[in-house]
Amino acid sequence: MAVTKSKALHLLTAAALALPLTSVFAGDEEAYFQYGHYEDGARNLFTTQSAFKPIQVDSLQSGTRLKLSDRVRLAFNYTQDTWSGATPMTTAPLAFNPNRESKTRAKTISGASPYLQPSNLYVDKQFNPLQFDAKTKKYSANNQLVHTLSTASPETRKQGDVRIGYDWDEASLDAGAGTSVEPDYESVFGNVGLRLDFNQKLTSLNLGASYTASETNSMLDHDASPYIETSTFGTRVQTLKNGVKVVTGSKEDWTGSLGLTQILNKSALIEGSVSYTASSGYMSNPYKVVEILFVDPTKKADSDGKIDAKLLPFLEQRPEQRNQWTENLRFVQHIDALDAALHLDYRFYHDDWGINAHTISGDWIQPIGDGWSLTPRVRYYSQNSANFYAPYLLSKQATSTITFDDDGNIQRTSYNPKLFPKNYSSDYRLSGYGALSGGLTVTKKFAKGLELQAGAEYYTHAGSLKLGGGGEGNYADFDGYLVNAALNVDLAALSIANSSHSEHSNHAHHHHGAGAPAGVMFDHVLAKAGDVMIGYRYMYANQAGQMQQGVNPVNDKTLLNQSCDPVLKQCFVTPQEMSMNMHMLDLMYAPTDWLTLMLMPQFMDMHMTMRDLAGAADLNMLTPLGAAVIHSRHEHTTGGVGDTGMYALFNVLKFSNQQLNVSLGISAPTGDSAIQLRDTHQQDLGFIHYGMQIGSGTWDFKPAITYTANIDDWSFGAQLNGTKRLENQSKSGFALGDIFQATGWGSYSWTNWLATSLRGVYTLQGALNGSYNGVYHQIGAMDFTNSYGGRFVDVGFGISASMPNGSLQGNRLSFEWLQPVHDDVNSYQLPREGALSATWSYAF
Amino acid sequence: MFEKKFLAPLKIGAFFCLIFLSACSSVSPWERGTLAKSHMNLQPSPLQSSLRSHQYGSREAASGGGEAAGGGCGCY
Repeated sequence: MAVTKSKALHLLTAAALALPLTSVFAGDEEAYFQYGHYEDGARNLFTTQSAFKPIQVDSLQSGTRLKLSDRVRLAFNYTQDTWSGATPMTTAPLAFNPNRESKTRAKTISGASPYLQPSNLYVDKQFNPLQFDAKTKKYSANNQLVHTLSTASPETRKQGDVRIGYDWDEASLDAGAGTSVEPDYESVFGNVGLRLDFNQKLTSLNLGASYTASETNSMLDHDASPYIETSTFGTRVQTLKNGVKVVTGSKEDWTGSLGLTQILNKSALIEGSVSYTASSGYMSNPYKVVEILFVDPTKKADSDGKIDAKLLPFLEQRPEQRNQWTENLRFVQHIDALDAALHLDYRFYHDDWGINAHTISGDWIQPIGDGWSLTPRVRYYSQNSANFYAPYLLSKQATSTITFDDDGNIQRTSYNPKLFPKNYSSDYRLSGYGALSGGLTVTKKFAKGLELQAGAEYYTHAGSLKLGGGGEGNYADFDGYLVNAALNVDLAALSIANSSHSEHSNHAHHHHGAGAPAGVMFDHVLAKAGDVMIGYRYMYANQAGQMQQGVNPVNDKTLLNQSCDPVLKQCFVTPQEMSMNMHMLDLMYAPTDWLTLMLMPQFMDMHMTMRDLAGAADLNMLTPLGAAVIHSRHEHTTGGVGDTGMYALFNVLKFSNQQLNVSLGISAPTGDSAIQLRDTHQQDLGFIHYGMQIGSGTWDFKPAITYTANIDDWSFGAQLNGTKRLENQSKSGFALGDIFQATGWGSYSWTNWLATSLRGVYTLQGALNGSYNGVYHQIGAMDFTNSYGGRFVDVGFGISASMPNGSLQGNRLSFEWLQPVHDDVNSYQLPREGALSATWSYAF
Repeated sequence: MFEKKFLAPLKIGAFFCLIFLSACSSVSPWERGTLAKSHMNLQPSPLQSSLRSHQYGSREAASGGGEAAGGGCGCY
């Protein structure tokens, strides 16, 4: 007995000692997917409100961590954010009425562009802004401030990184690199980390270093830039031939960090770390301006005590150096009586811009049985303002002075920028304030290594919440919320679970043969009640080349005169390139032997460029059509959550090597089908081009019938599927056309892990029904509902690999390229260049 | 001023070291069952944390301070 016990103890000791402290708990091999949504609440504009939604951000993250060998780890991560909406651009006295009201809608700002140079401004002798009261016809001092809002059309950022690590018995070394790309900002980064364990792994030392290089290249707002003073910015701001102003700058960040993790006792641990970051280069936000209030000291007050004043907006100017220090303390205590874990974090941040910030947060992770756990969380943050922060600046000089030279000619002298402070910003994020947030996260762990998580957090920012008081005024207060849903698959746990059922999985593998090509869905059902399958699908499709009418290429002259309807007579632009990226989660579960349920959330983004048609008429940019044409010269992007598919799959016929499956599904209109462009040139551009909407906007019925057969190393399949719109129109007035598709394929398994496939696809899709029920401008063929759908034939080439053994046993990865061979488009459209499908799936 | 900037973090670092040295007791490997529970991890939800820090980073001045992991501009 004693021998057995000591042996067990020895094994446990060896196992525990093998675990590195800092990564002890995370699965060694995992795949994950997360969706997050953040949304600001409406800002308080006091006398008016914005007609535009506040800023909102949709985020998608996916990635995997794998082991290449016992000691070598590899990880890939992908992140994508899409944002749009209204956000503060600057701050000004409310008395100056800096948010332009709509002429048609009282108390509402209709223009998305900011109103930066209000006129007829007065201050009193103490430079207090004077407010005009329409009732009493008198001016009185009013120091209330207000934000000026600016609205952005949708924009997307994409980031990818790779990380490789090597483990020794008591140390590990990691190195990573990645890049982040958005239309106006690009960065590349690299980092290294070293962990050293001491003291029988009771203590770990972490050392890290990283480097980031970023480039800003942003176009200033069309409408705002004529009013923004850029003369003091030198070569930082350049004016392109078409009059667009571009701000360029580069930035470098170097970071070093040192951390120590210590096990305090058998139920508590602590980590302390310090880090230092040196940043240099352009660190201003190119979309934020500072209002400077000019009061000419030579001017005397009038009989009412009023002095003329002028407000001019300048691009914000932050220092080009920033040194940042952070000290972090984390403490984790297990509460034995409740099996809960209390996490307390404190961070002190300090930089040479004069900002000191304290962050304290507490999480209580409470397991409640059956794999469920609840985590309530509270966080408090407080910072004081940067030493160059000011809501707006006062400059005691005239904006321009007129003098006469000896010959009597008028000499105009502009303001002297040397009288301004060296640096200035009115970004509310550099003001003094506090932020309080609280949230709840629910997590469910399934036995087979699958974890689902959903969380929500409410965030409130207020000057009055600043530690020690003295924060910014309540005009800058706002709130927001963040929700997330995540799925995490522990691949190592899956393979352990799987190896105990290896007989079943081998059988399943044999039965399914090579499987269907990556672009085919609904081809198989789960074998028995309780089975789960998780998959991830990615699809890319693009259209480019010479425009077609039916099957025939057409030139600019035809497009100019015929591709827009006869009423409009002429087109102005034509699409040049359109592409779509789609990420889908494939979640399958069999509640009974005869039924498989499938849930398919989607996340997508679209990209489109247009060009002017040769010979198109020149339009005045101050007309709605002219503004729409000018706006089309910028690339357009949209993105976010797409429609959500819910399917029931049945196996209706099954022989030893053949089966027939039927799938009945509904697609819920969770994707946005009412995306609008922001205003430009003071014109309402209305809805974006039909093809750029990310949801169908209608509930859709999606049936499919699939036959599959396996003969030795060959497998064959055929499928008919369709999409029937269940509503005549979405809330924005149109509906996509119905779709019918027929496909057939054959595949051959070359080895027990590699197969290739060949497929043919015929697709028939109808044109759009109805049309937008709000403002939109028809400037090219893509704005006409008959220029959608058609008859298409594709040939697909696929390759698929499944891991027959090893720790990744049961994973299947497949790719398929669909090459268009025949495009017969409705009306005028770009031909398709092809589509790539990639899928990863794991059944257990 | 320069010295003060660098001394402050050092002092805090020294404070951490004192805590560590004074507070820890020896925990045998077979007594680490509780510490091995997933909710005792220093970073129990890394995915959710990364989303949160990206969000805080776009709303607060004291962003970063950790290792570089991209993040983009957050220019909104």
